[in-house]
Amino acid sequence: MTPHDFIPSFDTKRIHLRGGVAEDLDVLDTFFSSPESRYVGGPRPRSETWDALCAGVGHWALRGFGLWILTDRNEGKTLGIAGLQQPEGWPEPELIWVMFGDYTGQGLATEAVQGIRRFVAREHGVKTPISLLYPEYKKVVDMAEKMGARRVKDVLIPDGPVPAWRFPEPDEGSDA
Amino acid sequence: MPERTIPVIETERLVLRGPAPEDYPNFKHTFSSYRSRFMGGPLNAYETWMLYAAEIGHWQIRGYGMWMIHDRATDETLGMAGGWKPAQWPEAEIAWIIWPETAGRGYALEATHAARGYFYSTLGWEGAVSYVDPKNLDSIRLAERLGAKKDAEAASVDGNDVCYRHPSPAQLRSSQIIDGIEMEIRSYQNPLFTPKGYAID
Repeated sequence: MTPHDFIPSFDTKRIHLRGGVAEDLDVLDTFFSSPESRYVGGPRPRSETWDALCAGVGHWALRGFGLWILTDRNEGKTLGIAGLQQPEGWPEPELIWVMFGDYTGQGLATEAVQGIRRFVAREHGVKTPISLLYPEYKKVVDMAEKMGARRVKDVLIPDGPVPAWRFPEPDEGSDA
Repeated sequence: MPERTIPVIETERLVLRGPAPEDYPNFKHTFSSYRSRFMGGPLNAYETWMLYAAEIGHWQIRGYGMWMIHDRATDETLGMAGGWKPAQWPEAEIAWIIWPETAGRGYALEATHAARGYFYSTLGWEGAVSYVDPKNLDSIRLAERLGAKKDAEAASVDGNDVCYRHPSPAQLRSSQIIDGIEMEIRSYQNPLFTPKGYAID
């Protein structure tokens, strides 16, 4: 079978964005089994990270949009995960991003998110996505606000109402 | 969309196709019901949707996965069957689940028999197992009808399940297991040969 004929890939200046593959499991598990993942669904056992990897790919088939694995364009190292997700019970697509420990502090997350905002506005018509963030996770809230996201009314998901930020329409420009 | 790249298998009464978005409601109905108790359920809406997405993603990531079983005549969905190997599975499994309303007509037997034939002849599998909850008597019966035998030496998924080992391609060729399966499938199609005993998948 052709892998990922339904998941588009694209590049920003330093990052290649692509669909998940089996070989991603080890890197994902290293992150999602560590306390670093506490604001993004972890820590969790390897089996759940496998399920999430498969679901991340299948999401594209069910919704037409989804998550990418972020890799370094030069060395191919796996940097993180980002994209749009809308599991059952989400009122609209949510923009999410996660950078693994070694790759924070270099502007890579901002670069990925800016590229994704333009991509999903153009390709999926999702122009002003929400992000559901923990207010105490200051680093990420600051980053979102720096890109223009603003706190909006709490959004109801199956866990209950959660704090939400909404991004403005992205600037024109290249994905890089 | 991936369901177009997933192979289609036709049998006497069934068509096996990749899980499609429009098949989700029936999946959800079963996985939110007691029927799914041996497959990790019942699940809430979020978990069910994520599992369905994972069923589709499994095809891309492993190159095989679970088919949606359709009635050949009406196209309605009857359940799922195929290959399944999450990260913590010791070996590739042949798995199945039949919607509660359609149990007892041999659909799981017909679908798993066809799926196993595809894995052996097209993908070149040398064998397969099924991990069964020891309380799930219907599934144990189905594993046995497929010629699988309990393998007490084999690793289980988490100690709460039992490994049934399917006959290898060579064992299938040199035995009458397939004849027995096909005779039983024919018995479901012809009411003259309705099997005695209680309803099984």
